[in-house]
Amino acid sequence: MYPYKYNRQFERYLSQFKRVLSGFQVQDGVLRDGSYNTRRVKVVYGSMSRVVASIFNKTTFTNHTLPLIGMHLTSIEKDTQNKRNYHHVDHVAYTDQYGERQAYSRLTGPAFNLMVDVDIYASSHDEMFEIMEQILLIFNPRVTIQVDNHLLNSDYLTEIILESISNDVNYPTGTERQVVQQSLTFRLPIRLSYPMDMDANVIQTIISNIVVDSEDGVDVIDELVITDDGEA
Amino acid sequence: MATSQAAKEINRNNKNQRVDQFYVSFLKLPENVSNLLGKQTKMIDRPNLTFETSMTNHRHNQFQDMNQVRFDPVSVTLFDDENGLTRQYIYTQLFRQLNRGADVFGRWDVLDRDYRFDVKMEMFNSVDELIEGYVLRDCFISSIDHTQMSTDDEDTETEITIILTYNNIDFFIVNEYVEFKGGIPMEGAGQARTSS
Repeated sequence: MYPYKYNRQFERYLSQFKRVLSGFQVQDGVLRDGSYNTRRVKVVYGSMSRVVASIFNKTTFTNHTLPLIGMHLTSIEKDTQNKRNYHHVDHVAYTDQYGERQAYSRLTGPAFNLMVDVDIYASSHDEMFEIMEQILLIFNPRVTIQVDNHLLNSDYLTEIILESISNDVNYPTGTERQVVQQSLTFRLPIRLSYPMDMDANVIQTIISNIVVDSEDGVDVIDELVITDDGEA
Repeated sequence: MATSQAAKEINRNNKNQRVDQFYVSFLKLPENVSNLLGKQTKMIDRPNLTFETSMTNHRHNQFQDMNQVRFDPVSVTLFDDENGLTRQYIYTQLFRQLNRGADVFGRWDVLDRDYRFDVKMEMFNSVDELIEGYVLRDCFISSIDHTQMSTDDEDTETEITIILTYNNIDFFIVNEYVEFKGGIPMEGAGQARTSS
């Protein structure tokens, strides 16, 4: 078995993405003096069919459900352009808070592109344009997000890139009521990072121990046990 | 643990070398700098060389002669990080070459200043064993090329391409390398072993 290492990295990227989208407001009622109230647009995670189903399933369908922004991950693609040499171990020397010289080694993880669809559901075209305008003013051309605040994480920044915009009128399954919906496709380049305490030794141990060759032949190990300190 | 030379010769693995099974180290640059440039290296040429030839005519026959060997310069493409560390180090090296910075020994103004550096290239197989390596000796940057900046392109990431000119190549197969690293003399180092 491999040591259990899980750091919720996809979730952290997606939650930061969601944070970028949450905070847009729409006009909500005009007062007698001509001023108006605003209401924050909710952001949910889910594909279009699920989000629409949840809207229609409500027993009291009121305007307060809409507008709504739904986002979901559509695909994870390999980002070979951003690949770094996997033989590289990045050595960093620094002085810690006690004045001691420290050395730190880290591996560079694999790079991916997260393709994220953002669907805007609104009760009118006017409301749709209201939200669209605000979003498109922000993505000019990219929004940079921070996903970590650790000093030694070299992938703490990434970008959200607007790839395409499409305007669809959909008829969700099981209903004849049309849904006016605007879809934006975003690309989020990410790099998964190895746990902070893991250096090259662990990975090399895994690779080289799966097959043990000798002068007589090749022995295959049935089960590989690797402890947290990298010893097999 | 490493696959022995004998095992390799008997096995005759059909698997071809892949272009990403390499690692580059920049030697004689400050330690942290050379380490960073190893990560930033995206592409590197393998050294190409040419033997110059000449012809001799003798009694209606023509004979081909081999003359000097000529090494082609090596092109290295580097990722250009947005905080400018990579280019900062490359430009520092350029300043050194221009006599506008200290050399590798910290000297500023001496006649025998040494601005040249070495580049070590290591090749691996798919189980990360070192197969061969070579060191380009006495390199200097003979050309530098940057990606064009443009407002109408949102996707292209900038790169720096440098051309390295060098004097010689130290080539080592893995046995010699092991001897060099370990400091323990090995009998028959550099020759194929047929038995262990």
